This record gives sequence, C-alpha cells and structure tokens, in this order.
Amino acid sequence: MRAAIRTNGLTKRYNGKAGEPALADLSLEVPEGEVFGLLGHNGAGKTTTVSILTTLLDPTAGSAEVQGADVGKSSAKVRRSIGYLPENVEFYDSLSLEENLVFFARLSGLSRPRERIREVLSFLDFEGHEKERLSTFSKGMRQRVGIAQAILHKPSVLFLDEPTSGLDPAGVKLLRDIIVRLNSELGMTIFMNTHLLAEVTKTCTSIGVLRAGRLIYHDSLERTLRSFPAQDSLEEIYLHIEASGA
Amino acid sequence: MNSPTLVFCRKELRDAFRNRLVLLLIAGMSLVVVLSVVVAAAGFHAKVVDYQSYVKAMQSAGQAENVTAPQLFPLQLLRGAIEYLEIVGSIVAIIIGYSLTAKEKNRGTLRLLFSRPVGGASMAAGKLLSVAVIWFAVIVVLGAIMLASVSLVGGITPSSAEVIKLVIALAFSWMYLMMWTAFSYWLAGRARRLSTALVVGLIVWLVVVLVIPQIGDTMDPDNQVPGGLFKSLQVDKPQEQAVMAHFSGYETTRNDLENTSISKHYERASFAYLGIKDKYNQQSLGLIWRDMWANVTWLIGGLAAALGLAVAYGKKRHLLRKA
Amino acid sequence: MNATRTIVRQEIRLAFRERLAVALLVVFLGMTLASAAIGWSSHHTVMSVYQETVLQLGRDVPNPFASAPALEVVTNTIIYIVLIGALLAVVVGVRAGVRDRRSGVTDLVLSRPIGVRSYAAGKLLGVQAWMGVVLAAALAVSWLSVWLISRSPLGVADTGALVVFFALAWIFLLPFSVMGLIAGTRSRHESTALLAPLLIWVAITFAIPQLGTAQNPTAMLNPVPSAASTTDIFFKVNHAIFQPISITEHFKHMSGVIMRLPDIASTAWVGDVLSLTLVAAFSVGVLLLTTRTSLRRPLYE
Ligand SMILES: Nc1ncnc2c1ncn2[C@@H]1O[C@H](COP(=O)(O)OP(=O)(O)OP(=O)(O)O)[C@@H](O)[C@H]1O
Ligand SMILES: [Mg+2]
Repeated sequence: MRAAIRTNGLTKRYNGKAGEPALADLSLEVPEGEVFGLLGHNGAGKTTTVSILTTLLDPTAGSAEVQGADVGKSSAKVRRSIGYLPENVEFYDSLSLEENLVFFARLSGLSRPRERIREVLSFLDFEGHEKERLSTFSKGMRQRVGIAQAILHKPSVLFLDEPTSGLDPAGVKLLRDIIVRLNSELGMTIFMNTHLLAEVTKTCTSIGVLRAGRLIYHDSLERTLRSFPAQDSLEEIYLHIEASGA
Repeated sequence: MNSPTLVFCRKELRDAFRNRLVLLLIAGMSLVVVLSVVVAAAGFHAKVVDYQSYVKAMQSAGQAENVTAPQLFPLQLLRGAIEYLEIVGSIVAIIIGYSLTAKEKNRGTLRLLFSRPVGGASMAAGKLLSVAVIWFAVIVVLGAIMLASVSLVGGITPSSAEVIKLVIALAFSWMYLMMWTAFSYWLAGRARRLSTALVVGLIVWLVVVLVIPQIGDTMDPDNQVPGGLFKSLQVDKPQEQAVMAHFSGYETTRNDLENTSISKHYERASFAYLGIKDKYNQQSLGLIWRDMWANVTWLIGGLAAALGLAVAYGKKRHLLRKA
Repeated sequence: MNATRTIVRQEIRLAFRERLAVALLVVFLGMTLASAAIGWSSHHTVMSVYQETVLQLGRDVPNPFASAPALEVVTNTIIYIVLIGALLAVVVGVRAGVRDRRSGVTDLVLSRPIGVRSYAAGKLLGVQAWMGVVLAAALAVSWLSVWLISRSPLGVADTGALVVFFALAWIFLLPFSVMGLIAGTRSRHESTALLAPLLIWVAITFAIPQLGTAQNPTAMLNPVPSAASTTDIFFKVNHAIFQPISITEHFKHMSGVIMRLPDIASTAWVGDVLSLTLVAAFSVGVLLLTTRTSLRRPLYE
C-alpha cells in the first residue's frame, strides 16, 4: 500500500531553545487509508509534528512527504491534498457559518462552494445553522465547523490536533463517529494527535507514541493490544510504554 | 496614607524603570519638547543674525540704523514646548495610564492582587500616586532644561518673576498629564477588550486635543485669510474690535466650543502665564489670574474628575467583572 | 489572484461587521459634514465682517474673498483626513492584521494553497477598499454640502478636483493602512500593534515638520501649510533631510493645489506626488516581505 505520510529523520529545534530538540529524528510511515493516532505527554512534540506536515513549520533537519509531495519543495502541492483542524481555532465570530465556510472553500480553490458546503453539512448532520453567526455556537458546534472547513475540498489526508479536547462526552462520541465515517466512507487518511486513549481504541487503526520529541513506539492498534496481554487497557499499555521506553 | 497604597506605588515605580515602553515614551516626549525649545532658540538666533547683518549693511551704506532689535522674551520660546506637552504629552499619558491596568489584566495578576487583604481603592491610589511621582520628576527635569536652554540662548538670566511664571505653567502641565493618565486608567479598567479601551482613548484624545481646538481656530474670522483678515482689510485693532462687537454671538459660540476642550484651558492658562499671548506678556500675576482663574478652575476640575473616576471605578468589583 | 480576491472580499465584509470600524466611519462622515458647516458659518461671518468693515470705515477695501475658490468651504476636510482618516486607517489595518492571529485562523489559511504574499496583498487591498468606501462616502457628503451651501451644484472642473483630492487622500492613507497591517501581523501584543504606527504618525505629523520649518505643532492643524520660514542653515539642512517623509505636509500642500486655495504655490506639486507615491510604494514593499513565520508568531493582548 502507498504511504500517505512518510518522514525521514525529521528534526525540529526551535530558535533560541537549547537542549533537546522539540522533535528528534522522526522516521515514520503512515499508509493510505489508516487512522493514525499520535500519543504523547504535553510538550512531547505532537503539534510540532503536525505543523511540519501541514507545511506551517520548516523542519531543522530531515524530510517529510505527504501523498508523495515534499513538504518543503512542493509545499503548495501538499497543501492542496490536506485538510487541517488545529487546536483551539475560533474562526470568524462575526460571520455566519456559511460565510465562514465559503471563505475557506474559496481559499482552497473551490469556485462554486455553496453546493459543496450543503453536501458537507449534510454529511456532518449539521444542517439548518447556515445563516447563524458563529458567536452563538457552542464548543461542540464549533468543532464541527472545524471539521467542515477541513474536508470541504475533499482532501486525501486529514490532520486533526486534539480534536476532542474540551468537548463533553456526547460531543466526543459525535466527533468520533464522524472521524470513523470520514475514513470508512470517504477513504480519507487521518492523522490525529490526542491524549485521550479511549478515543484511540475506538477510532485508530495504528498508533505512535512520542516522548520528549522521540518516537518510542509505532504499531497497529490490533497488534499493540495483543502484544501487551498483561495490561488490560490501552491506558495501561501507554503508561507502560511511556515508562519503559520500549 | 495606608500602607498597601505605598506598596503598590513602590512596585509601580520599580516597574516603570524596567518598562522599556514607558521609558521610551517619556524619553521621546521629552525629546520633542526639548527639541522645540532648541528649534525656537535657533529660530530666534537666525533673526538676530539677520538683524545684525542688516544693521551692518545700513552702517556701511552710511545710514543710521532705524530698525529696532528683535526683542527676546525668553518664556515665549516655550510656546512649542507647551504645545508638544499638550499634544504628544497627553497621548503618552494615555498610553501610560492604559498600561497600568493592561499589564495586570494581561498577566492575570489582577485576581491575585485582589485576593490579598487590601482596601478597594488602594490599588488605584497607589498606581496613580506612582504616576504622580513620575510626572513630577519629568516636569522638574524638563523645567530645568527649559530654563537652562532659554537663558543660554538669550544670554540673560530670567528674572525671578519669570521663574515663578514658569513654575506655574509647569504645575499646569503636571495637572494636565495627570488628568490624561487617570482618565485612561479608568477607561482601561472598564473595557472588556483592552485594545478597545486604547482606541476609545485615542478617539477622545483626537477630539479633545486636536479636533475641537482646530475647529475653534479655523472659525476665527481673522484666520480665514492668510496673513490675517483684518490686516488684509487694513484695519487696526480698535477698529477691529468695533467691527467684531457686531459678531459677539458668533464669537461666543466659538468660545463655548473651545471651552469644551480641556486642552484649550491648559493652553490658554499656560500661554497667559508665559506671556506667549501678547496681552499678558510682562503683566503682573494678579492681572493674569483675574483673567485666567476660570481656565485654571476647569483644569483642576478636569483633574479631580479623572482622579475621582479612576479611584471610584478602580475597585475589585469593577475590575474583576466577567469579560 | 483568486485567493487574493477572496481575502479582499472577506476583509470588507468583516470591516462592516466590526463595531469599531463602523464607529470610526460614522465619526469621519460626521466630521466631513461638520467641516462643511464650519466652512459655511465662518465664510458667512467673514463676508459679514467685510461688509461691516466697509460700512464703518466708509471706504472701499478689496474683498478678501472675492476670488475664493468654490471648494474653500471644505478645506477642513484636508485636516480631518490627516487626523481622523489616518487613525481610521491604522486601526482598521491593525485589526485586519491581528484578527486571524487572534482567532487561530492564520494556520488554517497557511495550510491552504495560497502564498503569503497573496494573503498580505489581499489584506491590504481589503483594508484599502474599505478606506475607499469611507472616502467615497465623504466625497458624496462634501459634494452635497457644497451644493447646499452655495445653492448651486459644483461644476465639472470643481467636481473633478474634489474627486482627485479624495483619490490623493486614498494614496496618502495607504502607508498608514500598511503600517497598521505590518504592526498587526508582526507584533506580539495587540496594544503595541496599535501604538507603534500611532507614534510614527505623531512623529510624522507633529514632530518632524518643526525641524525643517521651525513651526509650532499646532501649525500642522492649519489646512494652509506654511513654508520654511528662515534662511538659517540649521533649518535648510533639516528641511532637506526630512522633507521626503513629511507626507502630511506634502498631502496638505498638494490638496491646496488641487482645491486651488489662495497663497499656495502651485509649482512644487511634482515633489509632493513623488514623495507620496514613493512612501506608499515603499510601505507596500515592506508589507510584501511578510513571512509565514512572522504570521504564526503568538499574539497576546
Ligand atoms: N513556537 C515555539 N517556540 C519555542 N518552543 C516551542 C514552540 N512551540 C513548541 N515549543 C516547544 O516544543 C516542544 C514540543 O511542543 P509541542 O507543542 O509540539 O508539544 P505537544 O505534544 O503538542 O504538547 P501538547 O500536548 O501540550 O499540545 C515543547 O517543549 C514546547 O515548549
Ligand atoms: Mg499540542
């Protein structure tokens, strides 16, 4: 199977920060069609990784490809094939849902976005709010706006940075179902940062664990659950991996 | 004076000396003020040189000199300085008043401060006290520079009466700067979004300091024609007054409009004491006071109002309002 | 180009929804109206003063207003553009620069196939389009108020002059929008973003001209610019150094030429135009140097 994401010795050192780099020598391959969950403590380097893969940040060393395109040399090509939902994004409060989405669709090069917006909103089961301003939206609704803007242009790889943070249990479940459907029905490869292990068990097909900028574990979910029979939940497996650095 | 106030005051003073923005602003303001004195002095110097070469030319042509030497009233050289304090000083004051609140709001230390057993008004009082000290120091330094450069250029030491007048004008300047600082401190405390407070402060500044005085100025019939209307009509002062007596309604409106600007009161009072307005040049303090007490009262009233607002609305329940 | 157009449209829409921007628009139009009212009342008064003088003196003196140009009554608009217009441009520019960083939208935009230059250009065009709306409205208000005051509509030549004047104002305000945008997209604090361009404006408008001409700062508030007043070498040197960036003085002078105000030397306008366009072009150049890294800098209040 083709790799949707491939990194080679990817390293990032922030300006003026001495000591260990934020991301060190990351070599990783995520095949097409996967839902990949990147786990790690606060400050482990998850957001840094996603920022490099979405071309927002230049790596200090190493290289990365998304759908065969290099994030540095053909960044424009990469940007055409990805969708991205950052953590804590707020959008334009003074604009309506539709106005927000039209803006992002146009930036992605869609010339007749309204048709597509209707399609996406119906996919997300989020119709009827098109004319409402975002200032009235709850956190859960905003997160769906975030997903909507990320998939408008039918990207083949979707990057989600802690998509469920701050949501209530119902919101978490809703989002989880959406992620699964994006993968199974639309065939998107999904790269997701998260702390929430319950999420990972229910949505991901493979996981990686970062610790202090280093990838210390990477395998399919299925095999992971099998190879740690002594631990009876992913949570314990994660803590075990984190502690032992296997 | 209760001690939390002094604690706040001392902390603010220390903060101010480490705050690059505040230091830079005060330095910049002082620079333009001093520069304007120097520029005025240079301008005067140029006049003297022109006059001397004219006299020389006259003498070599064998004619007696029939031009009077340009007269130097040292305090009049401070016109630009006062105008800069009026325009630039007020905006610096607004920024400083704003930053007094803004830094606590930004750092999230407001809750921390108010979780201590301190009286409601002591924070505002302490902070304003520190600004009072800072402005006092600035004014004293500027005053010393003014005095020094004016006497150096003129080659004469200002008389004690002139020094007193300068001190009075400097006291007005201190009140004026304090007023703007307190006003903007109050604004920043009230605003939900800090940058909005700043913009509102700037709009008020624009209207009070620039727009209203400018309107008053352009409404002056004499300013309608370059070089002065009455000059171009070849009319002298008594005749001018006789003519203008017919337009007292218009003049009253114009005056009332200018009266709505506290900056204008500051300007009129300072210009009178410094003799920049010819009518009051070399006049006695009593005579100037007779004409200026209303302006001075306005200035004091403005300061009292701003300080009152800042202290009354600077308490916990005002500043910790939910955003 | 497409992306730029999208950003431009977005900026205009957002400006209309921004309370502060709309408030400033209202203030500006109000002042344009006030300027006409003031122009009318003082013109009226001066004419009466003139008649009264003739009456009292019992001799004929030349009417100082006999040859006053039609646009005389709106000359105060020149000053309001320097004062309120510049503040408006700075505030709208800063808000446009800060907005995406504050809401986290910057990353969304930059992860799409759009260059950072088209983004910056789009923002600038958006802000300047908004300024265009403001100025067009002011133009309409001025034209109508002159009609009301002089009881006859402006002729083609004067209308043309008014249009040219507002077009010049658009160019004059461009560097201020750019300064706002640059500060808004780069500075770490929103308040510094507002303050930096503002202080530059204060310096250009009030501090620099004194060095070249020994004018007092309030002289800047007079629509009729005063020329360099002395022959002293001190002022000559300063004048030469600072003249190119004294854009407010250039704008005032050029406006006087366009409105055919009396006592304005109508010869030196090439220098005005050159200086205004050069400063505008330079500021746009600096804006286009914006990088992805600077846009992604964190922003605090
Ligand atoms: N702009 C920056 N400048 C300097 N250092 C940074 C910057 N962004 C992140 N870092 C540092 O890089 C390291 C990795 O940060 P990163 O945001 O990638 O972690 P993360 O795994 O996403 O953490 P979290 O779970 O808190 O989101 C941290 O030590 C962080 O302090
Ligand atoms: Mg993160």
